[in-house]
Amino acid sequence: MKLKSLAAAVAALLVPMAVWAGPVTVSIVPAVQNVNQGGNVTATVRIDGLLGVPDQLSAYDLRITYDTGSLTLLSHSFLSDAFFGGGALESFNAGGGVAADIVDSFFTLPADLAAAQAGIDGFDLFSLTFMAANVDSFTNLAFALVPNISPYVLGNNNGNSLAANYTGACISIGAGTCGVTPVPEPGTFALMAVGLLATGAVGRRNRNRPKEGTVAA
Amino acid sequence: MKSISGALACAALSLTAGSALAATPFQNDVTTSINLGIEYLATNNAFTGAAGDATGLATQALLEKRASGNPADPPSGYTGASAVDKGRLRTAAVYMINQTAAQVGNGQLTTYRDGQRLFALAGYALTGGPDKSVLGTSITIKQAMDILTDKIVGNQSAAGYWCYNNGGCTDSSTTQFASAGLEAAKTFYVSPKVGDTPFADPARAASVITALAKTAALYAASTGTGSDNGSCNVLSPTERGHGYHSPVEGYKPSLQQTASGIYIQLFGGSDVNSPGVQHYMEWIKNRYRYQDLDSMGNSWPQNSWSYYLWSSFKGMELIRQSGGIPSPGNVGPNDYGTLPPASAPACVQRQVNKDPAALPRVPLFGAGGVGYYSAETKGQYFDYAHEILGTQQANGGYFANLGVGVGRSPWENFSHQSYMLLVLQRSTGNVQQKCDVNGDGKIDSTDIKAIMASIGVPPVAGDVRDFNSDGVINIIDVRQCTLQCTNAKCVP
Repeated sequence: MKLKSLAAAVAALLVPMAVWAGPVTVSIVPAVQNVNQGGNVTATVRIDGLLGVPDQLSAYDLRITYDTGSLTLLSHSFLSDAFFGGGALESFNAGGGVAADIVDSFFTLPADLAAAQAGIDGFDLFSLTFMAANVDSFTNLAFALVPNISPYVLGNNNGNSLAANYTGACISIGAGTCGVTPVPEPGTFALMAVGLLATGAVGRRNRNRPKEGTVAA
Repeated sequence: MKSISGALACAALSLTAGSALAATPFQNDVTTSINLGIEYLATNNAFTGAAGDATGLATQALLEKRASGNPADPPSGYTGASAVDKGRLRTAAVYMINQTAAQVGNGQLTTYRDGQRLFALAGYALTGGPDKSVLGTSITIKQAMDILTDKIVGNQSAAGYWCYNNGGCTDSSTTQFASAGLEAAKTFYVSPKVGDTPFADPARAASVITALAKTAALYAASTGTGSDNGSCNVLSPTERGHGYHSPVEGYKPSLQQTASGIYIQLFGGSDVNSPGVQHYMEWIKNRYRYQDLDSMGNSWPQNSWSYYLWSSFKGMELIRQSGGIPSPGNVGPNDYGTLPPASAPACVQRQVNKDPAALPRVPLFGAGGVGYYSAETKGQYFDYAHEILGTQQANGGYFANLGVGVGRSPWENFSHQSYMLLVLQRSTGNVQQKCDVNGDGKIDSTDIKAIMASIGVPPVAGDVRDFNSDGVINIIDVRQCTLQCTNAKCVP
C-alpha cells in the first residue's frame, strides 16, 4: 500500500516529456543516443526560444531523473557562464542518488544580462556525464518538479518566473532500445521463477495465519 | 529667520560619518538638518539619561545618521559612526542596559519604553556596538534583549494588544511600540552575530514571530471605519483603519494608528497586496496629510503629528524596500498625495503632494529662490521632509510650530525630536529588510548564497528569504533578492 502511494506521488511529480507552457523550450540533447555497456555518455541540457528582454534566462533550478540501475552519474559541468556575465551561484546536488538537482543563478544586473544574451535565443546550460551499466537496457532522462520549490524553475531578467516547455531524452545501453523493455535472458527467467515461488509461499503462510483481533493475547 | 548656512556647512562637514554619495541641494539641506537635530539631542543630554523613556528613540536616530541625504547612503550604525557619536551610543547603551537589568519580570513592563529599547539595542548590537566587556554593564546585550522580549511577549493580551504596563487594554499606541520592538528583536535573534555571547536564539525568535503574527491578524481584521473629522467620515466601503483603542470600544480610525497598523501587519507577514494592508492604505490615501492631523488623530494632535509622520512613512518605506508591487487597482506607497481634495471621494482635509519646483529654499539653510529644490521628486518623502525642515530652529530643535518646549515633558520633547529625525533618515527602525538574511543592513552575496542554500526549506512567517511571499523559497527568490543588492553584482 505504501509502495503504491509512493509510486503515485513520484508519478505526480514527474513532468511529462513535453508539456507546452510557452515559447521557451528546455531540452535534453541528444534526444536519443546509445552507449555501450560500461561506457560513458554525456547529455546536455539547453534552452531555446528566448525572446529577448525580459524573457531572458537569469536563473534556473532543474531536477533530472533517470534510472539508477542503468546509469551512474559521474560528473556535471556548467556551460552557460558566458551568457550571464559571470558571478555565478552554481549548486549541484545528487538528489539522493535518484536524480540530479542543478541550480544556478547570477549576480548579473538586468542591463548586463540583456547585453550578454542580446541576439541569442538559445544556449547550453549544463551537461551530465554518466557511466552505463553492464546490461542491455534503456532509461529516460526526464525533468521533475521538486517538492517545496515547484512550479518555478526558471527566472527571467526581472526575476519573475519564465514559462517553458520541457523535453526529456532517452539513452539506450548496448542492445537496448528506447521505449522497448529488453527481453530477459534465460538466467533472468530462472531468477524470476525463484522469486515467484517465494512470493507464493509467503502468501500461503499469511492466509493460514489467524486474523488480527480474533485470538486473545 | 537668519541664515546660518555657513556655520551649518562647517558643522555638517565635521559631524557627518562615512563617505557621502552625490546629493541634491534638498538632500544636502536634509543632511544639515539631521546633523543639527542630533546635536540638539546631544546638547540636551538625550544620550546620557535626560531623555528617560525616550532614550531608545534618540539612540535610534543617532544610529540612523547617514553620510548624506542620498537615499542610497546607508545608516552609519555603530561601526560607521564618528568617534564622538560612538561615545554617545555607548553611553546610551549603558543607560538602557543597566535600567533594563533593574526592571526584570512581567510586572516591570513599560511598553513604550521597552519596545524602543528593543529596537535601539538591536540596532546598536547588530551594527557592531560593543558589549558588556567593554561597556562595563551589569548584564550583556543578549541578557537585556531577553529581559525586554520576555516582558513584552509575556504581557501580550489574548487578543494581541498591549497596554501601558500589561495586556489589560486595547491601546494601539503602546501596541505599535511592542510590535516594532519585537520585529527588531526577531532580527537580533536570527542573526549569526556575536557580542560577548551569541545573539541567535531560535526559541525566542519563534515566540516573537508568534506574537507578531497574532497582533498582525488582529489589525488585519479591524472593522474600524469613519473618522473623527465629520467632513471626511466614511469615504469608501472598503477602507478600514485603527484608532487609539479597538474599534469595538467605539474608537474611529486615526491617521497615526492606521499608519502604524500597516507596519504591524507587515511584521506579521502581510505585503502590499494583503487585503488588510490595502484597506488601511486606502483609508490613509483618502485622508492623506502632512501639515498636521487636523482632527483626524482622535486626540493629542501636536504630540501625535510627529509620530504620524514617522509611522506613516515607515510603513510605506518598508513596502518600497520589500520591492512589492501593488496589483492593478491596489493602492501603492507612491499613491499618497495624488488625489485632490475635491476628487471622489471628496475630503477637504486631504492634501496633495508639494511641488518641489514651486518652493523656495527653507530659509534656515541659506538663500535660494523658487526652484532651488527642483531636482526632487514629488511624493511622500518630500512632503514630510520639507514640512519638517520648515519647523527647525537654529538650535536644531523641530519646535517652531509647537512653542519651544514650553510646558512639554522630556518624553514629549525628545520623542518629537527623534520622530522628526527618523523621518528625515527614512528609518524603518532596524526592521530586517527582505533578503538581508544576516541582518547587517545591506544585501550582498553573503545573503544571496544563504538564500540559495535555503531553497526548498519551508519559510517561517515574515521570512526575509521568501522575497515574493509565495510560501516557498526557490530560485525566483534568489534572483529577486539579487536585484535588491546594495551594491552592483552583490559585492559586499
